[in-house]
Amino acid sequence: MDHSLNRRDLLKVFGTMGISSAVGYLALNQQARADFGLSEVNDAKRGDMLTGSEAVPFRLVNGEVIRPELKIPQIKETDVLVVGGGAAGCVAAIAAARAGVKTTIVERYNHFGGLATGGLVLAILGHWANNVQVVQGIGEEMMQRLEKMPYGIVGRIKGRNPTVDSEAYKYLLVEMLSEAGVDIYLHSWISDSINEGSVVKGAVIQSKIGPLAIMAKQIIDTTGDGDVFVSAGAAYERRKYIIGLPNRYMDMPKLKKGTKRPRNYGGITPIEGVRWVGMRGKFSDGVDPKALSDLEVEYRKKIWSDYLLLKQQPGFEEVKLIETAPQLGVRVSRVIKGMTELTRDGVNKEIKYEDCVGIGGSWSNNHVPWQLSYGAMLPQNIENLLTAGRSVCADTHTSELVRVIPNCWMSGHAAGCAAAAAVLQNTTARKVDLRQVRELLIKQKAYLG
Amino acid sequence: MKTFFFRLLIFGICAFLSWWGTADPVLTNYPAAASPFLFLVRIAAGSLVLYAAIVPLILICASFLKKRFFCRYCCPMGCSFDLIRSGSKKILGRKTNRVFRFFWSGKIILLIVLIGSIFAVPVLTRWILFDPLLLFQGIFRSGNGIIWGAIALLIAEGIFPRIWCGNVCPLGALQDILFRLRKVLVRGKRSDSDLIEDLAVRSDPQKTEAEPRRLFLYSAAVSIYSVLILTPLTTVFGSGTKRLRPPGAVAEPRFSSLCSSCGRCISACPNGHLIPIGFGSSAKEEDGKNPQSLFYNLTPTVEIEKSSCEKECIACGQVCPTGAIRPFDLKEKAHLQTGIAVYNFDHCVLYMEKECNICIRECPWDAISSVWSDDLMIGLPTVDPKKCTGCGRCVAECPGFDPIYYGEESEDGTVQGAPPPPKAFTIQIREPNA
Repeated sequence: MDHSLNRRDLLKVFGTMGISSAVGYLALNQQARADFGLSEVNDAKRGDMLTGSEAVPFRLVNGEVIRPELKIPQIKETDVLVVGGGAAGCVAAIAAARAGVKTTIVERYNHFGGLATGGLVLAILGHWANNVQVVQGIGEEMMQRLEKMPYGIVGRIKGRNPTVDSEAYKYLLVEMLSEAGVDIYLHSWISDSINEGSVVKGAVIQSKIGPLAIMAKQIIDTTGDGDVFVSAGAAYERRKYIIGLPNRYMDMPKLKKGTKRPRNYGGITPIEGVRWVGMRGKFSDGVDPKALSDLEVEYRKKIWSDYLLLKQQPGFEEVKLIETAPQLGVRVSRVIKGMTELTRDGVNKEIKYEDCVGIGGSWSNNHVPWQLSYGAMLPQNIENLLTAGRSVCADTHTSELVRVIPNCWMSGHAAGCAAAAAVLQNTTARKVDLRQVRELLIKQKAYLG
Repeated sequence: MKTFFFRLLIFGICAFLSWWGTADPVLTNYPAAASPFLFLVRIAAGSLVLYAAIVPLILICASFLKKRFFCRYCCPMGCSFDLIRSGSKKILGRKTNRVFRFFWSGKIILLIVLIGSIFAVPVLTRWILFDPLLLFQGIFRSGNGIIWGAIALLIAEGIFPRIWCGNVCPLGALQDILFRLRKVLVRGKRSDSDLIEDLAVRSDPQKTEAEPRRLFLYSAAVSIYSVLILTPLTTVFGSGTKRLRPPGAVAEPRFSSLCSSCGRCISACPNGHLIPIGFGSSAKEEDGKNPQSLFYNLTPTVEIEKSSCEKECIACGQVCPTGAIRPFDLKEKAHLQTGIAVYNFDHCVLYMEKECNICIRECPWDAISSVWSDDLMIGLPTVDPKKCTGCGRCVAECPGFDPIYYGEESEDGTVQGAPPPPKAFTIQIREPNA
């Protein structure tokens, strides 16, 4: 018998081996299947289904750019939606969650704290008024917890302004939000409001997987730029103000007595040798990306050249520039037209509001305490929407008091409790019974006079 | 005993009226408004109101009727001296006969005061401070340095009886002259003694007869002398130095000549912004030193570090009896620009890029705004000279900053051994528009 393999047999063997390997490979290896376009990537674990909107482009029609009309997936339903995770937003979310309602917080950057962390505005200016600490509650709790963290906070003295460390504070906010059970959405830039007439029902996130809608009963706009209330159609005022970019240096020397301070000597931080330098900056539009870009470029050049000049001073040779603020310091951009306007006259005359929901201070301590009216957080023509932080309704002089971090904690606290009370009372933000709001605030250790 | 309580009562009433610090147009003008010299200054200044004439005229008439009526029954200075004398009599057991008396000195002073009041000559008008009513009111209303002068006077009275009443007081000299005039008019019995001479045994009949002529000669000499010699000395005595004055004040040197140092504006000011220039006061000259000129004592200037002129207030103009501060209304007040705020970046917390907008926020006239500086790469608070009135609010509210490092801050924010931080604003004098 002839046992030599002939060509046909060889082909059969190799062919069988090859086909069976390929089949086995493809059957067992998902990645390979994907590479060959044979399977779909399965990411529908959270139930957030794509309707294919990520793959729908804008269209150019007759020279105009037209946005496609799409159904947006509703990825979340919540009681209180806090848009903007800055100083005001975090306190609002913690307050609402602790009041017992479902709370979701949405933030465009990768960290919470807004200008207090990413903005490198490390000084806590404004919780004192004539030697009385008028901002307590959740803000005070944050400062107490920072004290227990390494290099968390420094300068906690009566009537004086302490300084925080941005990294410690970023961590603390994540810890406190998680503790309170708040749903966290970072890397989520809210672009639009969802309205039913003049009632806000939710907000839309622009994301890498397309627009996503979060539905809510009450919404708090703490973006600082009024992204939600502007989109919702609320009456507002657009302002231009100075915008700065702080930075941090390390290995800063101690000054010798009798010497003149360099202008960029800055202030202390909890870490020895690390100082933060503020910047007042130029007047500009806080919401125009081109204007902001131009500032970033200009300021980066300024900071670098100031840094090189600083290093030439005797004693400053070892100084190192370690960080420029990841968030550009927009102080005021868009301010809501509320039911009440906080005015300079009102503050100086120590006006007492019937709908007072908080007491604010000033960075100079040598100032009378001023009252926050609930109406200043309420839009004139939109329902179920509140604002807190620097976009609270105030004239240009009083915005200087409203926008500082501790006063944002104070207004955020009030807004969080008010939104939660509105949900608990099953009513709108406008009609909420303020007595329950104040009860919640006092239970959460706020100072109301 | 009755006279003791009577004198105490007069002293008490006058002291209370002097000290009472309201802007009531009638009551708190006393005891100064009883002075005939102040009355003359008002006529000269054209700021006469009819009721102002009543009390001085009553005083003058009474002087015709009874020798030194005012001194005996009304004068607070006289009553204080009497109280001292009765006290010193009891303690030291002095005889009352010893009296100091230079017959002509009081009358010369009277003449200077009269000329100063009628013609509003600078420096001479300031001699109005020798009027006991104004002096008394000034002690209680403006206080500070002049108190020591008052104490010196009282001590002097204890040692040299009647030194003031007989030798210095122009009001007393006026009463002597008026009573003699009465004698001349009535041609009644010759009685050549006044209250002082009742007690003294020094009058020489011959001298007394020659008195009127000698007095006239002396007076003429003194008046020419004072006008010619003393007036140029005003520059030596510092009338050229400018000071911040209340809003509505007329220009120097007319202001110093009209101001009667009654102190009403100082007590009427609700913010304590007006203070008297005087020894030991906190008023500062432009060079930072305390003004020591006797001739400007007790005139009002402005306290700049801690207080400011209240925007909606017209009190000082309303209460000034002589028109040194002329009355104004709220609309005019924006144009009464007696000073201008001057900004210094080196003493501003913006130097360290800190947050602060206190001056911009607090200026009642909205005169300060932020203007970008390319050199300093920062917006600087800039004063609009058209709006700034020099009210001093920016200075009072400014937290101040010292660019020099003096050491570590202690817990309350102060630095040991460091001077208080200088303010970013000072007020410089501008000529008033009036």
